[in-house]
Amino acid sequence: MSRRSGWQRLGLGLAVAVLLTFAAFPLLWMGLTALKPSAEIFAWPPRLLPEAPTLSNIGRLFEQTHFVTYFKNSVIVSSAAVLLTLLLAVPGAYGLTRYRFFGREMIAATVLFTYMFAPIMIIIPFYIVMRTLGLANTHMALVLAYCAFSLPFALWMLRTFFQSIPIDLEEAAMTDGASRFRAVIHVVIPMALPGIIATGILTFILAWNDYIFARILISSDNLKTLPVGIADLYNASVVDWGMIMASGLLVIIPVVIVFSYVQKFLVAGWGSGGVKG
Amino acid sequence: MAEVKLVGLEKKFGDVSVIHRINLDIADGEFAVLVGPSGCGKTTTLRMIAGLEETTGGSILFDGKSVERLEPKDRDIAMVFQSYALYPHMSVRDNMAFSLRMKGVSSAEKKRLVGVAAEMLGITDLLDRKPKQLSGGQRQRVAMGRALVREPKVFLFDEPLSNLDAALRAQMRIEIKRIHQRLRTTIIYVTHDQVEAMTLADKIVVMNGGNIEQVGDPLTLYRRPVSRFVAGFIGSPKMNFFPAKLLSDESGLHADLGDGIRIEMPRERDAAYRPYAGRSVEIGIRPEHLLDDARLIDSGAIAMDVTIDVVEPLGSTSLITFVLGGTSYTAIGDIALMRRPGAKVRLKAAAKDIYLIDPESGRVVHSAEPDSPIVRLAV
Repeated sequence: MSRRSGWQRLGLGLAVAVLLTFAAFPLLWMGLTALKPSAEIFAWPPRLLPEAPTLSNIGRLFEQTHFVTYFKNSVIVSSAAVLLTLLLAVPGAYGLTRYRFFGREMIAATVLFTYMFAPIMIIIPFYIVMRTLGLANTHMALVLAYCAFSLPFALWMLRTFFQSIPIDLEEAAMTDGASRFRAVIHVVIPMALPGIIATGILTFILAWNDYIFARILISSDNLKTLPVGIADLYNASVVDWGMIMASGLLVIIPVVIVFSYVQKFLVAGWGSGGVKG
Repeated sequence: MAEVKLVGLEKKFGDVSVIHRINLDIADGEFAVLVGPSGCGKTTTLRMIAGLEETTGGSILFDGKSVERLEPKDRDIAMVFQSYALYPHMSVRDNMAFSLRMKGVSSAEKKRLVGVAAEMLGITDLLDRKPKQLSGGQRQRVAMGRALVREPKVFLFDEPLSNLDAALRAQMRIEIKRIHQRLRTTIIYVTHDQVEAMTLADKIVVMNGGNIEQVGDPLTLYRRPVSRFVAGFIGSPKMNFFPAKLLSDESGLHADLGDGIRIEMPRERDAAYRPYAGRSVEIGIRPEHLLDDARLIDSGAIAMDVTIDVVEPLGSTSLITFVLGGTSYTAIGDIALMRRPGAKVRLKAAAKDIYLIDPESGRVVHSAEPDSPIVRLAV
């Protein structure tokens, strides 16, 4: 990398600082507010740091709302969506990469095209389909919705990963006595693992953060996921900002953990070294 | 160990035929090398034998049993790939043991077999490394070790040495030959390098444009090539092909190369060459038989006076390039003479070392009897 002059470094630093403030300040504000007692939240002039930090907001969240139920629902629905998506996308992407058949490229392109619709455009037809199937107001409906929505993206991402795995490796496994299935299990999947994990995590985040599908497909309170559950806190007669901020904080923690983990896999480099290249 | 037979083997990609009904017999324990320029179909043929490519027609027999409908895993073969194709996520040990794992071999036996193969290839101390921690030569050894461990009926090699540097390639060539001498397993080896083919093979299969051009042991191919293609492909540097006119007079047949160069044809080939009298032909002479050497005295020696264009000293000899009729040709010069560009030299060849090629069919015209053994010349 070329060396930068002092001015360039200063300019770059400033730009980073502005961007970081813009992106991270609301999160910081949310986190700090969650730790403030109610009186401090409305104090004027507003203060950044809580004077008397408290966990009472979080305590009230657990006692007075169904936060734990929502959290559990979110975990179940998001995990199931990841599982189903990968179960379909891994073999699908493998097929789109390794088998030659008529219209393969067109199918691949069409799959991505479906990803360009905003969820709001398909939500009503989707609801009707779910109701016809008797799945409205079930977690299954949500799992299917998230799977349908992340599948195109998952297929494309995995296809790229599979394409980067030299076909020689699979052929070597097959001449070594493995069936195609075992070659996939022992050679292709381990090598595509960074891609599979990254795809799974992105699907998880999509499902975890979704509001619109959960709002429309779920009506029972005990089946609601976190985004809907939290949004409902605004509808109470007294809006408890401390509690809302505390729930926001608890919602993003899993996502942050997951994202810090995904980075490692998105910059995957351990596919190298097996073949001359 | 197995005898391999290809019967009318054919491959088409869509409407394009790339292998045209070839027949080939490879004896049990034989080292067969498929050689030819890129695109000649040698790799496709090997991949069909491996089961990685479907056949369009014909059959592949291992010990008389047809295998072309079998999956690669059921053919009892081991293949070494040009790219080595080591599994990057596995250690060298696991790479080598992979086929045993697929077979469900006990771990004690796995350890023993991997140990034996590693010993044979001198890679015992690399067993715990990952492929990316190995040099090219080491990866090549591991790829061979993985094939050895399997103890297959047939070894298939797809240009295994083409990614190595010249010194390593020569070393690995010897190693492969040694392994074959020891195990005596049938080997089918694909290369585009005729030196590899000459040095390794019991049987060379020269392929061209999806056909088998000639099959034979290395010396037969060198001495009695059937076609211009084989004559030009086998041997290094390449054979010279001089356009000429075959003429007949009272002293017998001779070829007129133009520029006043006249080459007398050996009398014993008269019967074979006579039909070409009065026609345009090509005269083939290998550079190593066309010598700038005063010591060459042969009863049937032929001579041509040429002007040297370029000299490439090789140490013991030098390559001399000269131009005739706008085409460059190569001869071998005595290093002691230290010729300079522009100098005139008299190049000589023994009459028995010339080939007559029918330019229309591309066939080399041979007399019915093989020629007397080639006299080696100290150059």
